[in-house]
Amino acid sequence: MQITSYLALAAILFSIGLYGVLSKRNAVIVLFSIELMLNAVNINLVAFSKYGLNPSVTGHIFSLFTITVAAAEAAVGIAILLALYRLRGTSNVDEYDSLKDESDLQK
Amino acid sequence: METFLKFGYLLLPEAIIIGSIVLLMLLDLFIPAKRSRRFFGWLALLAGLGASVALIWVWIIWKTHLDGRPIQYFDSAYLFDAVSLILKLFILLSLIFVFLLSLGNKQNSTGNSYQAEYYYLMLVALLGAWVLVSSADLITLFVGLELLSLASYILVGIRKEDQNAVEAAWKYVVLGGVASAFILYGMSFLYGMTGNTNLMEIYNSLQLSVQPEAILYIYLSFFLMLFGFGFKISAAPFHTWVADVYQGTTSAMAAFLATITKVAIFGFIVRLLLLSYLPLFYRNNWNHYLEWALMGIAILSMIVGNVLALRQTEAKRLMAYSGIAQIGYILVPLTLITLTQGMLFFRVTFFYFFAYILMVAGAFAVISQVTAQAGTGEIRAFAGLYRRNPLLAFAMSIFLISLAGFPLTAGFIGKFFLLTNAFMTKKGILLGVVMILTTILSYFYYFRFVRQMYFRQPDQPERIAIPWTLRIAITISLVGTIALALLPQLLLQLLQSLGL
Repeated sequence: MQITSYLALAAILFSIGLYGVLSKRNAVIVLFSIELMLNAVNINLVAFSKYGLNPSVTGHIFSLFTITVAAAEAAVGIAILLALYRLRGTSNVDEYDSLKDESDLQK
Repeated sequence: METFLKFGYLLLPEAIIIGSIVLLMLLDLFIPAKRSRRFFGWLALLAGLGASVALIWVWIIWKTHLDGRPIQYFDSAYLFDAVSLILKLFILLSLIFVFLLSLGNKQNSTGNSYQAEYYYLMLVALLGAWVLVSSADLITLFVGLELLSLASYILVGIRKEDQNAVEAAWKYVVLGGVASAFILYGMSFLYGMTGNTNLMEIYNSLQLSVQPEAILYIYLSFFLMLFGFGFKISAAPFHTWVADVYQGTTSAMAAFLATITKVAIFGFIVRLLLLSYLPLFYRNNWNHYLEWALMGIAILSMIVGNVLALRQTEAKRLMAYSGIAQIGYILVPLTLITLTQGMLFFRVTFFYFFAYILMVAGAFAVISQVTAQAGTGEIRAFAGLYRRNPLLAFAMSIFLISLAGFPLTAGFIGKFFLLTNAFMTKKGILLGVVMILTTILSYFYYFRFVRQMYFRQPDQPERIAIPWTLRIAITISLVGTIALALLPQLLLQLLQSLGL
């Protein structure tokens, strides 16, 4: 029974993260939301490795890898965001729209 | 310890790549900042060639001394088998093409800054792709996937003074991150329900009776991962980022994303499906949902890619949408794998992938040079190419009609194999018909290039010069495209000798 609450927490976190990526205007919040999604996975993995159907230590190891990779991904994301902010002077993702399908029609 | 790395010499190509990455990084640190770093490209190309020699040597050794049986490393987390060997060769070949493209044209790589980073990050991405296609464990798969993805995020935006490139990188990193999260979330459920991260162990536990409440989670994990893969391989409902990223980045990097990333992710999907999820397809209650999900992705990719490509005027955007359609074609045998009992699956898919790499790399090589000289990425840069360089126009026409699947080219033979594979089953007929109809649709936009090249007056009359590295790349892909059409049995026999 215990595991259900952990899984629910992870699912809620994952959904909040997905909602944030899709709806937030601020680029930094978008990156945070991705981190939220990845951290939901960590909760899942650790919960499964303790209370899962076949508990094993592999889940802990997997979550260590996930944490490391998520940190690297955040670093790359922030670096790209900084470069973009320097060029555009804004962190509003709605304004990052110079590449799109109809660009040729507007010229 | 011995079981961990028994026959470790088969990993020599990986060792060469890792060694070169470390060496190039150190070299970059020790060379004075003002010195030109152009020669890093040649060093990286040398590393790639060295790795290909090693790969072929390893292949021969494996074939003669070990009878070509699969070898497992690190507690069967890493595999050396025929599938991984072929995919590694494909990936390495694509990388050599990308290097030749980058060396040929300054605008293709990074201008003058970050040359060293550009080339060693390419090698890092290659390593990630290799790990991805040879892993048999969720953790190693994930690490390989991220190694490939993180390196490509940086490479897309490496020209950081170019607004479009950085915007493309931003879109790629956000959507790629979401896709990774979905894949990972799926992996966590798969691990939770089976208690194991090894794909073969997962297969075993899925084949045994699974509790009814657990089976739902396993389906959930399948669909979550499908979502993530769809993004990464740029299949249809998840394709929105592809055109933007291709347009924003350089031609060399677009060729990289179109070949290496797709081959590697495809290898990943095949491994996961065949090594772990296959028992699910033989369960009675839900299996047709799985099949329909895969078929839906293939059909949508073919339709959406070809239809949206019709209205593109930008060369790289057009190639991006055509790439979505090509992924749709390649996914056809995979969706039918349970119905055809996997018959000829690898031979058909790998043949098409090889043809795809050759023609896409060739087309991007021509596009990179023509658009760089015209200073615009629009298709009208190709106007009158026949008068400015007849040979280049001829080469581009061959690549295009091969992509369109006209006879006497590798693309035709490949598509023919895909179609025969599809028509072997009843459900496949639908896929085959969609494939034929959308292929006809694709003639319109491929021939828009041809029309520009042969029937329009050039804006600038002067001849287009091609650097010799590009010339090598174009020649290899041209010869390959035609040779594969005339002598398809060579590649088929090679695949057969590997037991595929």
